[in-house]
Amino acid sequence: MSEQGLLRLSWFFVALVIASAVMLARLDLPLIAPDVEREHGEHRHDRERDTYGGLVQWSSGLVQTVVANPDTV
Amino acid sequence: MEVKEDRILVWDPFVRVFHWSLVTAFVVAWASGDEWASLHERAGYFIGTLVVLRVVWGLIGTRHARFTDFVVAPRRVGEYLNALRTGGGERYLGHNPAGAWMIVSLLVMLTLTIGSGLLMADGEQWEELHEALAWATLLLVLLHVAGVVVSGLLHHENLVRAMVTGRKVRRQLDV
Ligand code: HEM
Repeated sequence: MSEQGLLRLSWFFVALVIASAVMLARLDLPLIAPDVEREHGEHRHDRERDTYGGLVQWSSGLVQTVVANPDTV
Repeated sequence: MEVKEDRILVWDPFVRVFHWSLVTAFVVAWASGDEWASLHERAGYFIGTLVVLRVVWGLIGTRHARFTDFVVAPRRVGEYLNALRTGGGERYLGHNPAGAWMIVSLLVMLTLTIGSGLLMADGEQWEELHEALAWATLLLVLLHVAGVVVSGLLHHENLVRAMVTGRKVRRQLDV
Protein backbone atom coordinates (compact mmCIF):
# COMPACT_ATOMS: atom_id res chain seq x y z
CA MET A 1 0.00 0.00 0.00
CA SER A 2 1.21 3.52 -0.69
CA GLU A 3 2.15 5.82 2.21
CA GLN A 4 -0.97 7.85 1.38
CA GLY A 5 -3.13 4.74 1.65
CA LEU A 6 -1.50 3.79 4.95
CA LEU A 7 -2.19 7.27 6.28
CA ARG A 8 -5.87 6.75 5.53
CA LEU A 9 -5.74 3.31 7.13
CA SER A 10 -4.27 4.96 10.21
CA TRP A 11 -7.56 6.87 10.65
CA PHE A 12 -9.36 3.55 10.59
CA PHE A 13 -7.14 2.42 13.49
CA VAL A 14 -8.03 5.63 15.32
CA ALA A 15 -11.70 4.71 14.86
CA LEU A 16 -10.98 1.28 16.34
CA VAL A 17 -9.44 2.93 19.43
CA ILE A 18 -12.51 5.11 19.92
CA ALA A 19 -14.90 2.22 19.30
CA SER A 20 -13.16 0.01 21.85
CA ALA A 21 -13.15 2.81 24.45
CA VAL A 22 -16.88 3.35 23.97
CA MET A 23 -17.58 -0.37 24.05
CA LEU A 24 -15.57 -0.93 27.25
CA ALA A 25 -17.30 2.01 28.92
CA ARG A 26 -20.76 0.62 28.15
CA LEU A 27 -20.16 -3.08 28.59
CA ASP A 28 -21.23 -4.60 31.88
CA LEU A 29 -18.06 -6.52 32.66
CA PRO A 30 -17.88 -9.17 35.33
CA LEU A 31 -15.23 -8.24 37.90
CA ILE A 32 -12.03 -10.23 37.61
CA ALA A 33 -10.94 -10.06 41.21
CA PRO A 34 -13.90 -10.34 43.58
CA ASP A 35 -11.93 -12.48 46.03
CA VAL A 36 -9.25 -9.88 46.41
CA GLU A 37 -11.91 -7.38 47.32
CA ARG A 38 -13.07 -9.50 50.19
CA GLU A 39 -9.53 -10.12 51.34
CA HIS A 40 -9.07 -6.45 52.13
CA GLY A 41 -11.81 -6.78 54.70
CA GLU A 42 -14.17 -4.46 52.89
CA HIS A 43 -15.73 -4.28 49.51
CA ARG A 44 -13.87 -2.12 47.08
CA HIS A 45 -17.18 -0.91 45.82
CA ASP A 46 -17.85 0.67 49.18
CA ARG A 47 -14.51 2.39 49.22
CA GLU A 48 -15.03 3.37 45.64
CA ARG A 49 -18.13 5.21 46.71
CA ASP A 50 -16.26 6.75 49.66
CA THR A 51 -13.29 8.12 47.78
CA TYR A 52 -14.61 8.99 44.37
CA GLY A 53 -18.33 9.09 45.08
CA GLY A 54 -17.76 11.82 47.66
CA LEU A 55 -15.73 13.83 45.19
CA VAL A 56 -18.29 13.39 42.44
CA GLN A 57 -21.14 14.35 44.78
CA TRP A 58 -19.30 17.39 46.05
CA SER A 59 -18.46 18.68 42.56
CA SER A 60 -21.89 18.00 41.12
CA GLY A 61 -23.39 19.83 44.12
CA LEU A 62 -21.07 22.73 43.39
CA VAL A 63 -22.09 22.81 39.72
CA GLN A 64 -25.77 22.67 40.64
CA THR A 65 -25.37 25.54 43.09
CA VAL A 66 -23.55 27.65 40.53
CA VAL A 67 -26.08 26.90 37.81
CA ALA A 68 -28.98 27.70 40.14
CA ASN A 69 -27.43 30.93 41.48
CA PRO A 70 -25.11 32.33 38.82
CA ASP A 71 -24.71 35.62 40.71
CA THR A 72 -23.01 33.90 43.68
CA VAL A 73 -19.86 33.43 41.65
CA MET B 1 16.47 36.01 5.62
CA GLU B 2 13.75 33.53 6.39
CA VAL B 3 14.91 29.97 6.57
CA LYS B 4 12.31 27.69 5.14
CA GLU B 5 11.76 24.75 7.43
CA ASP B 6 11.08 21.36 6.04
CA ARG B 7 8.47 20.04 8.46
CA ILE B 8 7.32 16.58 7.57
CA LEU B 9 4.78 14.19 9.01
CA VAL B 10 6.58 11.54 11.04
CA TRP B 11 3.92 10.21 13.46
CA ASP B 12 0.66 9.27 11.77
CA PRO B 13 -2.71 9.96 13.46
CA PHE B 14 -2.97 6.48 14.95
CA VAL B 15 0.49 6.61 16.57
CA ARG B 16 -0.42 9.92 18.22
CA VAL B 17 -3.90 8.85 19.36
CA PHE B 18 -2.39 5.56 20.56
CA HIS B 19 0.24 7.34 22.60
CA TRP B 20 -1.92 9.87 24.38
CA SER B 21 -4.70 7.33 24.96
CA LEU B 22 -2.10 5.04 26.49
CA VAL B 23 -0.82 7.81 28.77
CA THR B 24 -4.38 8.59 29.91
CA ALA B 25 -5.33 4.95 30.46
CA PHE B 26 -2.07 4.30 32.31
CA VAL B 27 -2.80 7.16 34.73
CA VAL B 28 -6.39 5.97 35.19
CA ALA B 29 -5.21 2.40 35.83
CA TRP B 30 -2.78 3.58 38.50
CA ALA B 31 -5.28 5.90 40.14
CA SER B 32 -7.99 3.25 40.28
CA GLY B 33 -5.81 0.25 41.14
CA ASP B 34 -6.73 -0.17 44.80
CA GLU B 35 -9.91 1.80 44.82
CA TRP B 36 -12.17 1.20 41.92
CA ALA B 37 -11.95 -2.29 40.48
CA SER B 38 -14.45 -1.89 37.64
CA LEU B 39 -12.72 1.21 36.30
CA HIS B 40 -9.29 -0.34 36.83
CA GLU B 41 -10.21 -3.42 34.82
CA ARG B 42 -11.73 -1.38 32.01
CA ALA B 43 -8.52 0.67 31.82
CA GLY B 44 -6.56 -2.58 31.66
CA TYR B 45 -8.65 -3.99 28.82
CA PHE B 46 -8.30 -0.69 26.98
CA ILE B 47 -4.51 -0.70 27.33
CA GLY B 48 -4.52 -4.29 26.08
CA THR B 49 -6.50 -3.26 23.02
CA LEU B 50 -4.12 -0.36 22.39
CA VAL B 51 -1.07 -2.63 22.60
CA VAL B 52 -2.56 -5.19 20.20
CA LEU B 53 -3.46 -2.47 17.69
CA ARG B 54 0.01 -0.92 18.01
CA VAL B 55 1.71 -4.26 17.36
CA VAL B 56 -0.40 -4.80 14.23
CA TRP B 57 0.38 -1.24 13.14
CA GLY B 58 4.06 -1.91 13.80
CA LEU B 59 3.90 -4.61 11.15
CA ILE B 60 1.79 -2.92 8.49
CA GLY B 61 1.77 0.80 9.39
CA THR B 62 3.29 3.96 7.99
CA ARG B 63 7.05 4.26 7.58
CA HIS B 64 8.17 5.47 11.02
CA ALA B 65 5.53 3.42 12.85
CA ARG B 66 6.98 0.14 11.63
CA PHE B 67 9.20 -1.93 13.87
CA THR B 68 11.54 -2.50 10.93
CA ASP B 69 12.05 1.28 10.78
CA PHE B 70 13.32 1.65 14.35
CA VAL B 71 14.15 -1.65 16.06
CA VAL B 72 17.89 -1.99 15.48
CA ALA B 73 20.63 -4.26 16.82
CA PRO B 74 20.82 -3.86 20.63
CA ARG B 75 24.50 -2.90 20.48
CA ARG B 76 23.45 0.27 18.66
CA VAL B 77 21.78 1.43 21.88
CA GLY B 78 25.12 1.54 23.69
CA GLU B 79 26.79 3.21 20.74
CA TYR B 80 24.06 5.84 20.54
CA LEU B 81 24.13 6.58 24.27
CA ASN B 82 27.92 6.79 24.29
CA ALA B 83 27.87 9.17 21.37
CA LEU B 84 25.26 11.32 23.15
CA ARG B 85 27.42 11.46 26.26
CA THR B 86 30.38 12.78 24.33
CA GLY B 87 28.36 15.45 22.56
CA GLY B 88 27.65 13.53 19.39
CA GLY B 89 24.87 11.14 18.55
CA GLU B 90 23.02 11.16 15.29
CA ARG B 91 19.64 12.73 15.24
CA TYR B 92 16.86 10.42 14.10
CA LEU B 93 13.73 11.46 12.32
CA GLY B 94 11.95 8.38 13.72
CA HIS B 95 12.74 6.70 17.06
CA ASN B 96 16.41 6.62 18.08
CA PRO B 97 17.93 3.22 19.08
CA ALA B 98 17.51 3.83 22.82
CA GLY B 99 13.94 5.01 22.35
CA ALA B 100 13.22 2.02 20.17
CA TRP B 101 14.24 -0.50 22.81
CA MET B 102 12.41 1.49 25.45
CA ILE B 103 9.26 1.19 23.33
CA VAL B 104 9.73 -2.56 22.93
CA SER B 105 10.28 -2.90 26.69
CA LEU B 106 7.21 -0.82 27.47
CA LEU B 107 5.02 -2.86 25.13
CA VAL B 108 6.32 -6.13 26.61
CA MET B 109 5.92 -4.95 30.21
CA LEU B 110 2.42 -3.65 29.56
CA THR B 111 1.51 -7.05 28.06
CA LEU B 112 2.91 -8.90 31.08
CA THR B 113 1.18 -6.55 33.52
CA ILE B 114 -2.16 -7.05 31.78
CA GLY B 115 -1.60 -10.81 31.59
CA SER B 116 -0.95 -11.01 35.33
CA GLY B 117 -4.02 -8.87 35.95
CA LEU B 118 -6.16 -11.26 33.93
CA LEU B 119 -4.73 -14.16 35.93
CA MET B 120 -6.21 -12.62 39.06
CA ALA B 121 -9.52 -14.08 37.91
CA ASP B 122 -7.88 -17.31 38.97
CA GLY B 123 -7.14 -16.20 42.51
CA GLU B 124 -5.38 -13.60 44.61
CA GLN B 125 -2.01 -15.38 44.44
CA TRP B 126 -1.31 -13.35 41.30
CA GLU B 127 -1.83 -9.97 42.94
CA GLU B 128 1.77 -9.55 44.09
CA LEU B 129 3.14 -10.36 40.66
CA HIS B 130 0.68 -7.93 39.09
CA GLU B 131 1.76 -5.16 41.45
CA ALA B 132 5.46 -5.85 40.95
CA LEU B 133 5.03 -5.69 37.17
CA ALA B 134 3.02 -2.48 37.45
CA TRP B 135 5.78 -0.88 39.52
CA ALA B 136 8.46 -2.04 37.08
CA THR B 137 6.45 -0.58 34.20
CA LEU B 138 6.07 2.71 36.07
CA LEU B 139 9.84 2.79 36.51
CA LEU B 140 10.30 2.30 32.77
CA VAL B 141 7.81 5.07 32.06
CA LEU B 142 9.81 7.47 34.24
CA LEU B 143 12.98 6.50 32.37
CA HIS B 144 11.08 6.90 29.09
CA VAL B 145 9.97 10.44 29.93
CA ALA B 146 13.49 11.31 31.16
CA GLY B 147 14.90 9.95 27.89
CA VAL B 148 12.44 12.04 25.88
CA VAL B 149 13.45 15.20 27.77
CA VAL B 150 17.21 14.58 27.65
CA SER B 151 17.44 13.53 23.99
CA GLY B 152 15.14 16.41 23.05
CA LEU B 153 17.41 18.88 24.84
CA LEU B 154 20.57 17.43 23.33
CA HIS B 155 19.16 17.51 19.80
CA HIS B 156 17.45 20.88 20.34
CA GLU B 157 13.98 19.71 19.50
CA ASN B 158 10.63 19.36 21.20
CA LEU B 159 9.79 15.66 20.91
CA VAL B 160 6.60 15.97 22.97
CA ARG B 161 5.20 18.53 20.56
CA ALA B 162 6.09 16.22 17.68
CA MET B 163 4.07 13.44 19.34
CA VAL B 164 1.11 15.88 19.36
CA THR B 165 1.37 17.41 15.90
CA GLY B 166 3.08 14.44 14.26
CA ARG B 167 5.55 16.76 12.55
CA LYS B 168 9.31 17.12 12.81
CA VAL B 169 11.80 19.33 11.05
CA ARG B 170 13.91 17.42 8.58
CA ARG B 171 17.62 18.24 8.89
CA GLN B 172 20.44 17.51 6.53
CA LEU B 173 22.26 14.95 8.67
CA ASP B 174 19.27 12.96 9.87
CA VAL B 175 19.33 9.19 9.92
C1 HEM C 1 3.54 12.57 30.21
C2 HEM C 1 4.21 11.48 29.96
C3 HEM C 1 4.78 11.10 28.62
C4 HEM C 1 5.42 11.87 27.68
C5 HEM C 1 5.71 13.36 27.73
C6 HEM C 1 5.77 10.99 26.58
C7 HEM C 1 6.40 11.38 25.42
C8 HEM C 1 6.70 10.56 24.35
C9 HEM C 1 7.38 10.97 23.15
C10 HEM C 1 7.86 12.38 22.86
C11 HEM C 1 7.49 9.89 22.34
C12 HEM C 1 8.20 9.85 20.98
C13 HEM C 1 9.63 9.46 21.21
C14 HEM C 1 10.49 9.75 20.00
O1 HEM C 1 10.47 10.88 19.51
O2 HEM C 1 11.19 8.82 19.55
C15 HEM C 1 6.89 8.77 23.02
C16 HEM C 1 6.77 7.50 22.52
C17 HEM C 1 6.17 6.46 23.18
N1 HEM C 1 5.71 6.46 24.48
FE1 HEM C 1 5.55 8.07 25.68
N2 HEM C 1 5.37 9.72 26.89
C18 HEM C 1 4.75 9.75 28.12
C19 HEM C 1 4.19 8.70 28.80
C20 HEM C 1 4.13 7.41 28.31
C21 HEM C 1 3.52 6.32 29.02
C22 HEM C 1 2.86 6.42 30.39
C23 HEM C 1 3.68 5.22 28.22
C24 HEM C 1 3.25 3.81 28.45
C25 HEM C 1 2.69 3.34 29.50
C26 HEM C 1 4.36 5.64 27.02
C27 HEM C 1 4.67 4.80 25.97
C28 HEM C 1 5.21 5.22 24.77
C29 HEM C 1 5.34 4.37 23.60
C30 HEM C 1 4.88 2.91 23.50
C31 HEM C 1 5.94 5.15 22.61
C32 HEM C 1 6.20 4.75 21.15
C33 HEM C 1 5.17 5.45 20.30
C34 HEM C 1 4.95 4.74 18.99
O3 HEM C 1 5.83 4.68 18.13
O4 HEM C 1 3.85 4.22 18.84
N3 HEM C 1 4.62 6.98 27.10
N4 HEM C 1 6.43 9.20 24.26
